[in-house]
Amino acid sequence: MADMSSYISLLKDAKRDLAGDFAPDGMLARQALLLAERTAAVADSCPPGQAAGWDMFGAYLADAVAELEADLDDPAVLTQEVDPAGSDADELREEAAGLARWLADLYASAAAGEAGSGWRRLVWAAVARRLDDAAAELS
Amino acid sequence: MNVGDRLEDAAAGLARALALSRRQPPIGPQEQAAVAVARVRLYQGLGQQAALLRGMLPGPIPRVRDVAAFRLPDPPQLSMMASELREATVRAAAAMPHRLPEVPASGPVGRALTDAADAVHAANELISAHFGGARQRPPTLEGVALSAGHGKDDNIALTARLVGAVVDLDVRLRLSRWLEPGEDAGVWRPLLLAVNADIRHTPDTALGVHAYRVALGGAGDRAPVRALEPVPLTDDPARWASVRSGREAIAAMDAARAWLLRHGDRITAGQVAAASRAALVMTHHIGHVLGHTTDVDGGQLVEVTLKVGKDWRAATMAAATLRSNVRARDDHSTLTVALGAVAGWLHGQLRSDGGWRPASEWAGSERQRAAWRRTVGQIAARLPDVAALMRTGLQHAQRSGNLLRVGDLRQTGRMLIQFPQWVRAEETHPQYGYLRGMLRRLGKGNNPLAVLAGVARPPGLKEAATAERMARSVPQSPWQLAAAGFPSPTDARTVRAGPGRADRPVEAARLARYQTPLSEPPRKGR
Repeated sequence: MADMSSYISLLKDAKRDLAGDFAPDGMLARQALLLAERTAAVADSCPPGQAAGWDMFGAYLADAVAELEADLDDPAVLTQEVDPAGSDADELREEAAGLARWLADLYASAAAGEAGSGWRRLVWAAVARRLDDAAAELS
Repeated sequence: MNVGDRLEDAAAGLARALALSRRQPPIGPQEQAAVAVARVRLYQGLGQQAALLRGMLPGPIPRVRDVAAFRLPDPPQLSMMASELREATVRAAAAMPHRLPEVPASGPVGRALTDAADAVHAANELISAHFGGARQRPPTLEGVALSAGHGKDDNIALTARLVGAVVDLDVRLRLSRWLEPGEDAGVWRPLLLAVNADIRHTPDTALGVHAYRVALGGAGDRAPVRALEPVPLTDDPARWASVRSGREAIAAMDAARAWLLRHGDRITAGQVAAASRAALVMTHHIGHVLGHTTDVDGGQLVEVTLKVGKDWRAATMAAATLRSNVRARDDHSTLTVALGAVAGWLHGQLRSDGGWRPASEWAGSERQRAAWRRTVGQIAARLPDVAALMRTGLQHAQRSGNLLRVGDLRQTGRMLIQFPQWVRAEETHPQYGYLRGMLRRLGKGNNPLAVLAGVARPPGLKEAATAERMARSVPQSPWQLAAAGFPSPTDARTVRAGPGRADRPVEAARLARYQTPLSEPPRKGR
């Protein structure tokens, strides 16, 4: 099990892990998506003015996950043990938006590349679009 | 156009016909024939409308013995009005037993009265569609409430006002001998003779008096039937994929509600999660709009928005821990498509680049502010029905084994993601119980944001149950009998909202029977 001492460090780790070897339907990518989606739970405890942005970020991430997993046989879940509550609000926002943007770039590259079927690449393009929208909500 | 628009058109047509027939003689026999046919159609249409609104199923105009067999007791003047409506065209019907002749609307009076008759029939079609017909359940929540008698006195008061106007027109046509056939009547002579005989008979009845009393027995301006829009199509989710205006957004909300009423037994955990997520997004937008279009204190508005949003967020997160036996790619319905489109439309109108667009761009004038306030209020007022019906559907899914929870987990090394085995969720499963509780809370009463917008929750199951309960208890006491015999708006309201009645809790079993096959399977030990 990964170190769960800091949610922010998990986001940073996810981003770093993806830098090496990115497989759009792979475990690391899906973990990063689910981790980013879970971050939106902070809307429960964030300052009132930020709740709308977090909820919309969460909605876009949920759409991205649904889009990606629609044709996969084994939908995954994120362990319940990770929770963004208590993290520094500004840093969390920055890291979550950064991860979403990073993922959006990776999925967009995969969609424009040669690997995978055309249909699958279409899915990755849709995921990239959702991630762009999500990142915009926190910018 | 809704029923209120149609009835207003009918009133305008009648007003024109009354005014123009004062001094204007018929242009020729063709206009006389047009007026004669329109008069028959008007009475027939108003008779059908009265029957519908009294809770009788669509079909032929009621006869006296049908009225007596009706399940709810009507005040005497209403029964009399209904039977005399039929009498008003009995000679024309005998002369033309199969169908009325087709006469083009000609002449100013003929056109005005034809417009009125068309509008009444169009209103009847809308009402019938909501009520569902003889062998069908009402397809909408409003249909459930109104066909059970919700707002009956107010609804029928509108019809009675139109009946009174047609009776007035009869008097005018009779005194001026407007419909008497001349030498040139030709093929229209039998029609004109029959309708003339009906018109001469009208003063012998007390139709005008009964209509007047029925009109006084309710307040037409607040009749819930006026708000009935065309029944939304629910069988094709793609129909709701795009929302382009506030009006379409409200129609999409109604489609989602109607789908839940008819097909709530098909709901899945994924759909509850998606619908709750859309409701959460809507809630933020509704709160934001009200902040720019009402005088509500900003702090109070933020507090209410966050409170409602928190409940929807909790529902979203709880639903996300559950699954149903359906492939993810097939897990959509009119509910999720329509709510997603409404949320997307609000977002597209109000946000840009992660921030709120300046209010001056979308609510620069008082007219725009009023339109936005009305639109988001209507959207908000429909969300409690979505929650309440999702809860009922979810319970059905759980009982039928189509609600799954995480069972054994397959860990993946040092990864944070797990691959679960999904097993049937028990009734005592904590996340299921929590989700049910959240939806119950969100489905209770009106949405606080709709209250701030000044929009009432549309009538639905609760109103249907209340209306039926009230109907069973009338007449119950001497003063109620007196009120029924000598109605006044005050008396009528007192009877409906008698002490301790409207406040009683709604019985779940009574509500359940209005819903499509959500009846729970019999449980052992009951």
